[in-house]
Amino acid sequence: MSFFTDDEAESLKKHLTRRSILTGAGQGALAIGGIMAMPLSAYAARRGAASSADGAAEITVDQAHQAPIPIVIPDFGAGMGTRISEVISADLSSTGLFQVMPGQVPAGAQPDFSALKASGARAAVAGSTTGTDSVRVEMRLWDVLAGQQLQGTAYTASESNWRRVAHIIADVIYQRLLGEQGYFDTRIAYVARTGPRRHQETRLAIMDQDGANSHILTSGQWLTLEPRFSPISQQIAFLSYFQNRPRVYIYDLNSGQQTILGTFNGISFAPRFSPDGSGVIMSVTTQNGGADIYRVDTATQSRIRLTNSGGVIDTSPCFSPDGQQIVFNSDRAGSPQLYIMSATGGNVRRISYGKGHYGSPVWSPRGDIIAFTRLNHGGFSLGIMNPDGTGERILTEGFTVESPSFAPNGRAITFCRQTASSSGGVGFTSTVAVIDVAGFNEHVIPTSTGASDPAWSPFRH
Amino acid sequence: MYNTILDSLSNKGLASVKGASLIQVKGAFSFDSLQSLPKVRNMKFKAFGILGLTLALAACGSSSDQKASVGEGVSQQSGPVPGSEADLVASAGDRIFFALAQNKLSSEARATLDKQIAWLQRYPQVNILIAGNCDDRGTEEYNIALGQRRSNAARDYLLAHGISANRISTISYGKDRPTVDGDNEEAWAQNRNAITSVR
Repeated sequence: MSFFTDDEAESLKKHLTRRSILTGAGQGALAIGGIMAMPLSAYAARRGAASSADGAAEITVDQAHQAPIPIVIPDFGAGMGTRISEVISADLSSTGLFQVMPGQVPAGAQPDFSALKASGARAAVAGSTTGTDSVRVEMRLWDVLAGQQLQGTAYTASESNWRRVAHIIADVIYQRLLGEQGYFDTRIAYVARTGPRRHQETRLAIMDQDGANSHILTSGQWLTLEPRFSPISQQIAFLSYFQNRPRVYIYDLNSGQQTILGTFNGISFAPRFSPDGSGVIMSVTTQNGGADIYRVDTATQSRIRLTNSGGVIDTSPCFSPDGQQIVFNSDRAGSPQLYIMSATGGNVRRISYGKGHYGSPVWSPRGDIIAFTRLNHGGFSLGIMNPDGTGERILTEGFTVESPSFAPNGRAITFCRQTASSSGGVGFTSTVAVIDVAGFNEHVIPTSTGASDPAWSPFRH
Repeated sequence: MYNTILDSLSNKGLASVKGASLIQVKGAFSFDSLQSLPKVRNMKFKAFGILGLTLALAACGSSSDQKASVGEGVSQQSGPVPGSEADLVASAGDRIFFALAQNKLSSEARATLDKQIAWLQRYPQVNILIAGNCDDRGTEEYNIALGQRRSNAARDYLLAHGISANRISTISYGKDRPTVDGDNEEAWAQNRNAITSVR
């Protein structure tokens, strides 16, 4: 086993994300964030078949929505092995695309394919966990119907990284079976909320996408909202009311430092990074009761005004994934609606025409849809539409459902769900939830405090 | 619960009190006791949002009892100190209300602002902060701009009636610092406001 430079790991990573099969002794090892991944040889009897099984992922996400893939996830061993199996199972189950089945799959031999087939399984995982301080986790993914190994990898990591190993294994399973990159080894930035409804203490926070490993990043002294991940760096743009001057700041996850972004007389808010990470678009209030959209360069702090709307509110800007267009929220026609303009401003056209008010649009990283919040008769909906405004579909509703943010593969949306309060603030809850873009499967991410303003991270590996 | 006392010039925290005891005002409202803190006398202070100060003001604004003090220098027995926050509340009223999704000043709002103007002319040394707020029936982001639009509307009215721009600061809390609890038409109407406070 040998370690690689970042560049080498990067190129191997790209290799990993293709649908090729990592088997055989010819493959090298791969390091991700302190976790070593090394291919396992296929068993001799099947080596030939396995190495020609490219393109094994014939099931699409749409098909799996209709018929979740039955997959056996056995215990990876006592103690930590059990916990790893639980995390893998929870990840896969949370998508609604897998039907996780308990069962026995031998870690050191080919499984009994006919018995697995008889149980209804389409895929099966074998795994083992050894070691204490440095943990070695071996996993093999089997295509039960074809009787082939789809993946065989040994991961070595420090014990503290065990959850990440489990998420990476779940990502591999997702990718091998569905042909798309999984989103389990990702994080969600959010606002942790404590205290009474009328004066919530708000803190910038970050957690794994399943709610584990949450960390509070700021003190709670100042109202803090709207975190957004940089696509390229360990940075989060957010709104802080530091010294009662609400402005967009950058929080650096490595140093813990907060730096103001841009110099504006008005309130700057609703930040969103450009896809290449070189700039942040944001909304800035004006003296005449409106708000304009600006782009601020993260390196030079130079700014460009993209809208100049004379008293109307333009806010919640978000780039298309190719960086060519911006979707935003504006009340220029009298009520808040969704518009698209070119990334340099101009060529503005409205895309929302349903009943009620629209807000907080976000463009899918796949480019195919835009998620939004809609308000009608005092109730909130969370929906998606095509970028030309057609095909609007409501995914979920509630007293308040807002602040959508896409998983980096575009297949799920995290959002904030809040309940109404009565006198004394009783009944108010604020949670972060996840729903798939088909609207089939919604679940709340467990957090120890109230939570809002979720922002999904980019892929980590 | 923390209350941080801020120096009004540097905005740096001067004191932080954990678990400040709650006291009751006429049994209906409670706020964190600030009276026991050191250095409050002769120091302008702000308790961020409605914690402490604004809660106390809400108590004042919602009842006829103007004896509730918001800091040392105002005794429980005497009326509000001239030029103080409590005096503004008592003499003029500190808040105006807006219709749904609107920033238009109603005749009632203008009447309150007229009284604020007279009061500000009486105390030319006093600077104010106007905070715009919204009900929670809008998105977080849009409502920050809408709240600012409301505080701007109040500010513009004061400017048009001769109050100097350098005496007025504005801020918006969007829907994140509701003035009253509850989610019904009555509560929402009270949460669509612009609240003036002494800086």
